[in-house]
Amino acid sequence: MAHRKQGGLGLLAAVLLLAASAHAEVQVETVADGFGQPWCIAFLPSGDMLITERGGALHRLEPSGERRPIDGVPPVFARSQGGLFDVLPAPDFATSQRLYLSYAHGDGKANALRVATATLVETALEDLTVVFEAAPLKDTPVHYGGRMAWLPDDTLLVTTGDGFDYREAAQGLDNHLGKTIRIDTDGKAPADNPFTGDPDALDEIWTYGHRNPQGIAVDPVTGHVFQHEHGPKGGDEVNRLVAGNNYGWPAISYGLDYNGAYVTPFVAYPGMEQPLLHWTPSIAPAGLAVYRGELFPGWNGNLLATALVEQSLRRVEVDASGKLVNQSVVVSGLGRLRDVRVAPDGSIYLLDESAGRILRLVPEGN
Amino acid sequence: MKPWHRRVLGFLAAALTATLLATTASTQSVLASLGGLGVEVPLSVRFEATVHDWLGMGPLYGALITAGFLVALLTAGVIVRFAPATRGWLYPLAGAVAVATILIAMKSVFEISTIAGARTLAGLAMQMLAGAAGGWVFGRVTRRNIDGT
Repeated sequence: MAHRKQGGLGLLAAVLLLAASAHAEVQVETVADGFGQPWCIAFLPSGDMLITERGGALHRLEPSGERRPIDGVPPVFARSQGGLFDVLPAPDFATSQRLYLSYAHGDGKANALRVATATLVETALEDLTVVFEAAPLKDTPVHYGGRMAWLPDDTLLVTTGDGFDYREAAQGLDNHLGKTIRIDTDGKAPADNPFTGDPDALDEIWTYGHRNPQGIAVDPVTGHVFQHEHGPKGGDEVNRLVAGNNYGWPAISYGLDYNGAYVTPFVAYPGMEQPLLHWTPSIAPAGLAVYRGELFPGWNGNLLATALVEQSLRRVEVDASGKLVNQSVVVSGLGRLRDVRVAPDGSIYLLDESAGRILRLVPEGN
Repeated sequence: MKPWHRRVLGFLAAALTATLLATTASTQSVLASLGGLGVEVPLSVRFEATVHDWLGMGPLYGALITAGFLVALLTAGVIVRFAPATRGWLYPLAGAVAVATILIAMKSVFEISTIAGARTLAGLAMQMLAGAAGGWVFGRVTRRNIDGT
């Protein structure tokens, strides 16, 4: 079986050649296993990695394979789709040791996506401060969004979900549901946000009309911002985000409600953006990266998206203007893949939440 | 028509009536929500969406309604047998309670609203009215049988 568990730890753990499920150009290594629903991985300047588990744990993993839990993580609402989501080091982490966490906060009757910042001191979080909480509170334990990325100006993008039962709220500018939020490192809305000054809009909103975004990535070369979001039955989307734009949910969608009914009879409407592509039937994308690195030079500028239902890594080629060129499946059959990140050395890390594994992709024969 | 034929016919007519009305109500509620967002929904699109959803969500929702009606109308039938005066309102009540029970049970299990048109109290009331209409149809179709006229 190609994706069996590995007992050993460490970056040089046994190499698996997944000929049956991977294209010939990549080989897959197991870096570590034994995690419980790993959700996000981040790389620190020291070479250490941070891994979140949806249940609320944060781990520090050294290149040697030594794994230590981090204390001081805020309590999370870990039910259904709720829990601990992204961990993102600050742009100045090397000097500040600051990082950002996104997570579900509250209880079954009143919960919301939160973002907090804290200082990482070895294996403890200190000076934890909540910098954002999506308003209003909701009573569904699903559709939080929760992905984060830095813009080149060191402002933070945060995706938020529509809460499922509150999908129409994604079209409203008076709430944070179904949005991309842009805040500064202290949680304040930058003055150049698109709806600043509009008395009927919340200042933090950057884009709107989203369902449940599970990936956001900024191309460090072009500055383009890409995002993907889950559709219902069909209609998973990849979007190129531009400040102030309306991405249409739930007024337009290529998906149907889970019960087979229309969410909307429209797939396009004036004033609403079309996705770069949509996956119908759904693949349930989770995790998004823009590849920039040396190990896969032919992939520079491509989007990498992992998928839960399809259990795959997809590579999406976009041109210099950010338009779709092509897409292909890089690997499949590795379990429900929750996250994909490009490591500083250009290798590609995947989180397999089914088996709790961290996987690493390198060129075959590397 | 034999009594049990009439009961089966009445039951199928009740389930079909409730399913079509409940699906239609959900579709119109969803379209009204889109209208509330400023999206224009022409009459032709409303009609097309209604038929689409009959075929799209009708089979699954209909199966659930049928299962709920089986319990609710059988129970009501037993009560009506011993208290014939209740038949005018008991079958509609049973239909409404059956649909409400289905929706509340699904919300309890999935922690979300699986029928979008039932997310609001008004929407839930419309779904219950569809169930009541189904129950009323059952009462009408089986009336001669029960009354022996």
